[in-house]
Amino acid sequence: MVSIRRAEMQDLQHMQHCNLWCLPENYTYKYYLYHGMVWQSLLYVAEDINSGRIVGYVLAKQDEEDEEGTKLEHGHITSLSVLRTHRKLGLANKVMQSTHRDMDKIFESHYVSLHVRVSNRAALGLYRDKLGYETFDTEEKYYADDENAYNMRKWFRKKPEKQ
Amino acid sequence: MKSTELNAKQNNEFKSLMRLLEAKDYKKGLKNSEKLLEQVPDNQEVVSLKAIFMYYTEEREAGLALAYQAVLKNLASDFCWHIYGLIQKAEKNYIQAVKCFIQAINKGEENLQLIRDTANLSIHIRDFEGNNWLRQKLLNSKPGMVVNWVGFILSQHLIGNYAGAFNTIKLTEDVIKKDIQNPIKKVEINEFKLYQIQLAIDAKDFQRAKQNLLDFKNDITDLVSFYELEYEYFIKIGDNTSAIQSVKHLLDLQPQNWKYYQMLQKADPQVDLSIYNNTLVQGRLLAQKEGDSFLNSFLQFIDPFFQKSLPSLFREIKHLYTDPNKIEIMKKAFETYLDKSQIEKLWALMLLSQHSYQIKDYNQSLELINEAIEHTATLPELYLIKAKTLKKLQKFKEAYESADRARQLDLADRYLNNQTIKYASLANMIVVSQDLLSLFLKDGSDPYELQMIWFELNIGRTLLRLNYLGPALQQFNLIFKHFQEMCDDQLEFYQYSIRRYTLRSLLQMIDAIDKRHDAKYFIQSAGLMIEGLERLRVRIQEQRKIEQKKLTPKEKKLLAKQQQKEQEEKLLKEQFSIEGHIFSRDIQKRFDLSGEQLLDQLKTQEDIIKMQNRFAQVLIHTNFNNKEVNFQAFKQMVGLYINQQKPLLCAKLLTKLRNNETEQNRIVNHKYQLMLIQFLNKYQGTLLPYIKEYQQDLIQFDQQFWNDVQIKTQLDQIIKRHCEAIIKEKPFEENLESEDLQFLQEYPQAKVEYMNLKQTTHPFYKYDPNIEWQNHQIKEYQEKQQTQPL
Repeated sequence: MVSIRRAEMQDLQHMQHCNLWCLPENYTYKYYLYHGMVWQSLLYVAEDINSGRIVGYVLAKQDEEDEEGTKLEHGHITSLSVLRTHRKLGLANKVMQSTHRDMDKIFESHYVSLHVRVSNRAALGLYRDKLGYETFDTEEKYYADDENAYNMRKWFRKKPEKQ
Repeated sequence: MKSTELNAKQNNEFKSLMRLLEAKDYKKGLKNSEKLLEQVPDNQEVVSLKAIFMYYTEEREAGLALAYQAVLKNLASDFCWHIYGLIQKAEKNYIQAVKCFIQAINKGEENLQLIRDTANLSIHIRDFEGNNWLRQKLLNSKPGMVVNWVGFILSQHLIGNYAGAFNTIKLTEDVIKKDIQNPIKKVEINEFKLYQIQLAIDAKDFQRAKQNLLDFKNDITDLVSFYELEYEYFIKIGDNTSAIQSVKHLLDLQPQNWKYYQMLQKADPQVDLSIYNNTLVQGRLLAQKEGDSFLNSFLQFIDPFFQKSLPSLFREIKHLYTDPNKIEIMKKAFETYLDKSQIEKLWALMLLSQHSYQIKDYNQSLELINEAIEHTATLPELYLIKAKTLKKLQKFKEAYESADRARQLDLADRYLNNQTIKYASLANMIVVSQDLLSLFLKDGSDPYELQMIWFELNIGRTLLRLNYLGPALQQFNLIFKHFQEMCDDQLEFYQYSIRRYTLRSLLQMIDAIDKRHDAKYFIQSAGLMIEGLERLRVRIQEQRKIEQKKLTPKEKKLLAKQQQKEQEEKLLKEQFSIEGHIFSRDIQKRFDLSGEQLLDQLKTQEDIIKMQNRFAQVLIHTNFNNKEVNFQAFKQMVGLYINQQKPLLCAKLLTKLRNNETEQNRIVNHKYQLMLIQFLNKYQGTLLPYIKEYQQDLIQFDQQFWNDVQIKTQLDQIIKRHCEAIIKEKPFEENLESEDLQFLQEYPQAKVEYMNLKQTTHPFYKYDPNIEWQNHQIKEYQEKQQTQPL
C-alpha cells in the first residue's frame, strides 16, 4: 500500500537512502536539505504505509534563467527514483505529476527540464509517452561513465518563438 | 596602557594582517604577525591574530590556547573575543562561539555580518532568546532591509511571543510595499501568507486564523498547503462539516495520499470510503471484510496484479496477515491460480512461498520458491525471496549465492547489487561486499563521503561479529559523524530561508533535526557501538588482571586459551582486508578505517565508559516506532547502568524495556528487566527521596512499580519453567506448579500471558528449532542450568 504525498523534512534522510539503493548518482544530505528549504512544495515521496518506508521520491527545483541565459522561470527534476520492489505501480508517474502541478501553479514555470540516460528505455517511455516531454538536446558524455544524456523538456506555457 | 598601543605604521601592519586573514594566507600572516609582535609583545589583539594564524597552520591546539590567553589578558577587547569565537566556530564548538561573539558584540563590535552570523548560530544552538535579542539589534541597525524584519518575526515566533510577531508582520507589510527596488515575488507572497496562517493557528488565535484564511485565499497558489491549514483550523475549532470540505479539496489534488483519508475519517467517523475506487483505499478496506465477502473482494483485488505480471503484490496485502481468519482464505485464493496459465502459476508459486514465509514455515517457503525457480529461472525477484528464506534458516552462504544469482540477471540494477552486499556481509564476506559496492562507485568516491549509512552499518555489524573491534567501532563512529553532519548542514540555511520567506520549512527543519536520532540506523548503530565498547572494556580489564596477578594454573590455562583465540583472530584478519582494500590509502587514513585513531582515545576503562555514556545518553531519549529495533539497542545499556550504579537511569531504562516488549523478545526482555529490578530493589528505601529531585523521571515511573517487581519476579520463574517444558518436550501446563497457576489467575497482566499459553498454536509457546531466539534462549537456559540448578 503506497501513499503519495508531499515530502516533510523528516523524509529527506529516507529519500537519500532510497536514492542510494536505486541510482549511481548520489548526493550528500545537505543537497536534499537545500531542495527542502527552498522548494519543499516540489518534493514528493511514495511511502509504503505498511512499513513506513520511503520507496520512491522526486527531488526538484526551480531556476529563473534558461540555459541560453535568458530569463525564463522553469522547473528542473534533480532526481527521481522508485525502489525495484515497487516498480510498475505507476509511482514515478504520480510523484512527477504532483511536482509538475506545483511547478506550474506555484512557481508559474514555463517548462520543466530533466536529463535522462539515452539507454534508459523505461524512463524514456514514462517521460515521452506518459508525461509529454520532448527531447530538447543531447548532451555528450553527461554521465560519469561517459554515457550521453537527453535533455528533455515539457512545456506548461506557450513555447516562445525561436528568434 | 601605552606600551601596547599601535602607532600609525604599526596600525597599517595590523590592517594588512587582517587582509591576509581574509585572503586565507595563513603562513604569511603568521610570519608577519610574529614580526609585529617583536615591537608590541603585549598587544593582545596582535597576539589573537597570531593565534588564529597558528590555528590554521597545523598548530591547532597551540593556536586555540593562545587565543584563550589573549582573551584572558585583555577581557575588554571585542577583537580578542571575536577571534577566539572564530576559532571556536571552526572547532564546531558552537555554544562557546556564540558566547564569545556575544561578548564581542557587547563590548562594542558593530560588524553587522558578525551579528547576523551570531544570530544564525544562536538558532543553531537553539538559544531562541539570544536569537531574538540579536535580530532586534540587526533590525535597529538596518530597518530598511525587509530580511531583518522577517528574521525578527521568526525570532518572536520561536520564543512564543505571538502578539509581538503579529505586530511585526503588520509593520513588515509596510516595509515590503515601500521597497520598490526589490519587489516581492508572487511565490514569496504565497509563502509569507501561508506562514501567517500557520502562525495564527499555532498561537491559537482562531479569529485571526479565520480572517487570514478568508483574506489570503487569492494570494495563495499552493493549494495543498492552503487546504491542509484550513482543515487544521476547522478541526481545532470543532467545525467538522467544514473540515470535510477542506479534505475533499485535498483529495481532488492528491487522491493517493493515505493521510487525507485518515483526516476524512477523523472529521467524519461515519464516512464510507468504499466510494473511492483506487487500489490504496480498496486494499485498506480489505482488512474490514470477513469470510466469503473477504474472499470475493480479495480475488478482485489481486487479479489485476496477476494479469499485469506485477511482482509487488505481496507487499500490498501483507497487512492482512495480522488477522488469523484471513490467512487460510488468502492461501486458497492464491492456489486458484495454480491451474490457470503458466505465467499465473509462476506468480501463484511465488506468492505461496511468500505466504509460507510470513507464517514462519520457512522449509515450505523454500520448497515453493525452488519450484517457482524451476518454472522460470530468469526472474531476479525469486532469488531474493529464496535468499530471505535461507537467511531465516541460518544458511547465510547459500543466501548470498541466491542473491548473487539475482544480481547477475540484471547487473545494471543497484537494488539487486545492494541486496547482494547485504547477504555477503551477513555471510562475513567483507571483501566481496566492498568489491560489489565499488561496481556502483565513481572513481575516487567512497561510501563515507556519500553518507552510505546502510553499508557502514552492515559492514560494522560483520566486523563486530568477527571481533575486529577497532574497525567495527569506527564504522559506527562514522555513522554518528553523518548524523552530526546532518545537524551542522542546517547552518547555511537559516538566513537563506529567512530571505526567501520559507519560514514554514525552516520551522519544520528545526523540528526534524532535533529529532534526527529517532531513526532506525542511529538506534541500531548506537546499540552496537555500546556493545562493541563493552567488549573492548572487558578485553582491557582482563589484560590488566593478567598483568597484575601471579597466575594460578587455572588462570594460566585461561590465558593460553585467550592467546590462542587472539592468534586465530590475527589469522582471520589476514584473510580479510578489513581496512577496506578497494579504497585508496588516502581514504583509509582520512576515515580511519582501521580504527587506530579511535582506539587511541580508548585506552583505559574510564575512556571507554565515558564514550559508552555519550551514546547511551542520546539513545535513552530516542523515540522510534519499532519495538524490536529499540529493544536490541536498549538492552545494551542495562549492564552499563547497573555497573555504574545509576538507579534513576535504570528505572528509566526499565520503562523503556517494558514499552518495547514483543512476542519475539519477551523472554530475553524479561531477563533484562529482572536484572534491573534486582538492582533497583537495593534502593527501595533510599531511592524515593532521590527520585523527588527528578520529577521528570518520576512521571515516567509506573505507580505500580513496586508491586510489579514481585509480579515480574514470579513471571520470570514461570518463564524459566517454560523453557524447561520446551526442553523436556512436555506441554507447558504440565510443568506449572499450583502456585504458578494461582498467580496467573490472580494478576490481570499475567492472565493475558496465561491465555496465550493455552493457545498451543501461539508460536511463542511452540518449540520450533528454526526460531532463532528460542534456540538462543534454551542454550542460555542450559548453560545456567549447569552452573546453578533451579
